[in-house]
Amino acid sequence: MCSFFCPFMSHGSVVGVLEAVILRSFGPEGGQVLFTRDTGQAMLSRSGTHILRALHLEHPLARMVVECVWKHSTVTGDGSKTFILLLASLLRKIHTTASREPHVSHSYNSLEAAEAATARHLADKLLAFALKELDDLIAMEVAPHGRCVSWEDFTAEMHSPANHYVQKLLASFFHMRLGYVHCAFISELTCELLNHWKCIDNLPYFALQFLKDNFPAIHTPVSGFPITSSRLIEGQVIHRDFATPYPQTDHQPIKAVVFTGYLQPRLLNTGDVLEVGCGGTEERSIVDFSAWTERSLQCLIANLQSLGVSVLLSVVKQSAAVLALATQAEMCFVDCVSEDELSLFAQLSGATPISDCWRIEPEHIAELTFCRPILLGPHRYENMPFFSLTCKATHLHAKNYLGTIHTSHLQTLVADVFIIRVKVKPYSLIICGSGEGQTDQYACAFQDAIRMLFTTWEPIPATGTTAAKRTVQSDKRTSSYTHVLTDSSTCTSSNLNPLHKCVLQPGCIMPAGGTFEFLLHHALLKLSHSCSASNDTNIGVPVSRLLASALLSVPKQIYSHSPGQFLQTRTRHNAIFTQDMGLESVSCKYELLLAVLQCVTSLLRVDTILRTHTALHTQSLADTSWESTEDEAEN
Amino acid sequence: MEMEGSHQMFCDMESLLACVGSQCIFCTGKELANISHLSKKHLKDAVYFNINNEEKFVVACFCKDSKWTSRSHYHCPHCKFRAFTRSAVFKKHLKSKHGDEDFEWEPPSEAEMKVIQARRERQDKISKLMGDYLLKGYKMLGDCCDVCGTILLQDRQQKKYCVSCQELDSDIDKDNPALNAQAALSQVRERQLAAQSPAPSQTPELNGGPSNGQPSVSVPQPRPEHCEGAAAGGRALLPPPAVPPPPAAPSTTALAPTRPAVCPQNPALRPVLQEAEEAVLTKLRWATTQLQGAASLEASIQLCSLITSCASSLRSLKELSQ
Repeated sequence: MCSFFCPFMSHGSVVGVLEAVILRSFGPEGGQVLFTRDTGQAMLSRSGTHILRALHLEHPLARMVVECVWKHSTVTGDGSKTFILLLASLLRKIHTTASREPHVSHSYNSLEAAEAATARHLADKLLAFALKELDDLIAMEVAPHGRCVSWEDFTAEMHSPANHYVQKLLASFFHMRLGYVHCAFISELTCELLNHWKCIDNLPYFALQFLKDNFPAIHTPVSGFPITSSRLIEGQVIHRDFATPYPQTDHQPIKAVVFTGYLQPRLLNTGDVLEVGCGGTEERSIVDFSAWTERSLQCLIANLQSLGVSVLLSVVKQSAAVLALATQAEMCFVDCVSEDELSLFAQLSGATPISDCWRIEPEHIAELTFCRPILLGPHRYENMPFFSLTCKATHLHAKNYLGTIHTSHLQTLVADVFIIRVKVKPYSLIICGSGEGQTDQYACAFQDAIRMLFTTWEPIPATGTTAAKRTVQSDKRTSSYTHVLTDSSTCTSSNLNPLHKCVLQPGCIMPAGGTFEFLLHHALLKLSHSCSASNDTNIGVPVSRLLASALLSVPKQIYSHSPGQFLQTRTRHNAIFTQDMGLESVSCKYELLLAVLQCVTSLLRVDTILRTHTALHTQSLADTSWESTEDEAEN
Repeated sequence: MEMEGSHQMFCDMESLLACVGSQCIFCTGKELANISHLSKKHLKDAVYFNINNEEKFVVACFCKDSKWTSRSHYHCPHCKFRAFTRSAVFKKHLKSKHGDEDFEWEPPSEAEMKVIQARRERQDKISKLMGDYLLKGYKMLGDCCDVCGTILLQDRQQKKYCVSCQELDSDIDKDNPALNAQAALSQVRERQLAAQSPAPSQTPELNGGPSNGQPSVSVPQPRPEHCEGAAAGGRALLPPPAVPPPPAAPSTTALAPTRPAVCPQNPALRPVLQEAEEAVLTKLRWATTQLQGAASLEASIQLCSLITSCASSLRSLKELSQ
């Protein structure tokens, strides 16, 4: 065992191994990995996060890298394989530079220590450069080659140009993630979903944020059907069946309340002490007590009936007495509803859940257009859209919208269908897949697509500068992405001129296939040439050049099957892109670069790995490969 | 060539810290030589160089021995106190006059480039192999191999596995006759395989084991595409009776000891194994006699590797027969 921790040996080889793992799935020509469990479950996936998290990794550096990838993917939804590629290539370049010119102004015990310190220094410089100057560089040199699609332009009209771009962006995302067979269908479905949820608020990306946060409650995975059976369905689907027989009601609207606690006080829990017959002259027994609770329950049900409530939703499982009384009163009861669904219900309907069942105010009552059971695959669920008269302005637009349900396919799935008058916006997504693993994968792909869209349209906070900022010229926004590039000359000096700093607009997309990397590569080289005089002479190599050469590894891999294409695209990067490789989001790429540089910095800060007998703290992730943290003690 | 006082060469921090005292020997005026002073004032500007693969450094001083008393200067250890004021000039002097390697980077020569290239390819190969194993369900451990420093893998049976030691060849240059000999042996084996038709019927049985690539064996087998003809022939230990004794003797690499065949014990195998043992023993004896009379270094190396491979073959045969 080596007596000192050799950073590049471990860093380089660990990340190199992870790179070798994902390399075969990378790019449009990449393959899928088949996962099998000992239980016989099999799943195909091309998602980098899935692949990396399925590996058994005990090496701490490897786990650190996988965790960085996972965290990045939960934010942007995309780019986990590119992350590893960029990470590996950056580490290699830093290693080469550091071994060439290690720092000699400080004292180190050995050459390796000097190299390690130089590498650390380089990484810190890279990160500082990226945080300070990269967004301006991208806004000025790279973004003009793309197109800014505004979220407001994305309307219900299916043929507007904005729709076209968003659909293309989604199609290329799904193509990379799920394959080319169904990517068009799935991207259309996603666009439809976005259209329906778009008017949730006036803020452009609030709809995306809402969808992103509430996605588990908005979608329902159904396995056993082909993916083409996926569709949107009106209203919210509550993933529980009725606990009481569902009475058919004709009157509209249906009123519902949500209970968070137990309606009937629970009598005999362990540790409870029930004092019976205290303070009174009469002898009381437990039978009297339970009779009393049932009477109070009857009062409660009568109260609810008087208010016209016919649907009760509950977080917890209620007792049999409650269910019996509800059945008697012809109320439907759904219990054990999950917290996210109830919070979504509360948000959409504007009704707050009741914690104290004796105080029922009007704001606790939600009004529904219909409430019906729906049979999806082997499970029966509840389906209830909303139409709230007392809607709060921030939650729903009270637009009248007439439409009909497509019953043709649903009849194979639904037990009871009611013809209704649709007035509402909320739609649920039913995702079908052939097996559970596949369905889960499709659901993850949908969720990641929404995250990716959210990152694209999220306004990037301006980096702190005191000088005034100017937004990108409006004429640049109208340049089509197939337009032949004119050299970006309006912003003359590309660095450090505070009056000419540009802001990266949200919604900027550009052609995929390495375009972003090529453009940024050239921009960084230009910057390094202009900065070479004033650079820090200690290091000698401008970090921008380092980053520029590391960036090329991504398109090199994309075009690894046709090296001629790589050279052609590289030298003629400003020509019209004939090969249509889809679209990608500039913000996601920027976030990816930042995340990779931060990961590099933290990796290179590791000096030693200490072994402990027991785990120091438990991991919060549920992945089984993380559970074995017992290492042998090193003597 | 160590000198006294302020002109001495240091090899590590301890030797420099030995100069801690009440009066700094590097300064002309009165200065307390504590660690902080030595580090901040003198060590910061040290010039490092390499002598006989040892790293040394000299520290700038302000002594009166040169004409530069008010400027810090360096004394060249080889040139009898010749003083230099600029560190860049001093380094250039060291490189040009004394040929010392300092930290100034020079482009590597062609031979070094080849070595670097080979090492990089090897690293890439190791990474690719490890990646494949990870995808097969192996676990990446936090330990490194004692021999080569590669990260260890662990299979489902909790057995540790080092990719570079057990699969790749060791870090030998291409000019090493061992590899050439292996190529020569592969040709020989192929010729013999083609010549002897009943012998190949044994090969699927014996090769079926090593070529399976199943990680469920106690010693994990490599993938089938890794089996070159020679290696397969050497591992399977076919009993071709007359192994022609070329001077380019085979050195089946360290692969051989870890290749017990998986197939169950077949009574028809026993005479075959015995024949193989005899053949190997004969070869061993021959190699020993040849070694005693070997004159050239290369031949001795080859014969020694032949003996090693014979011994490991014998070991495998013994394991097979158990």
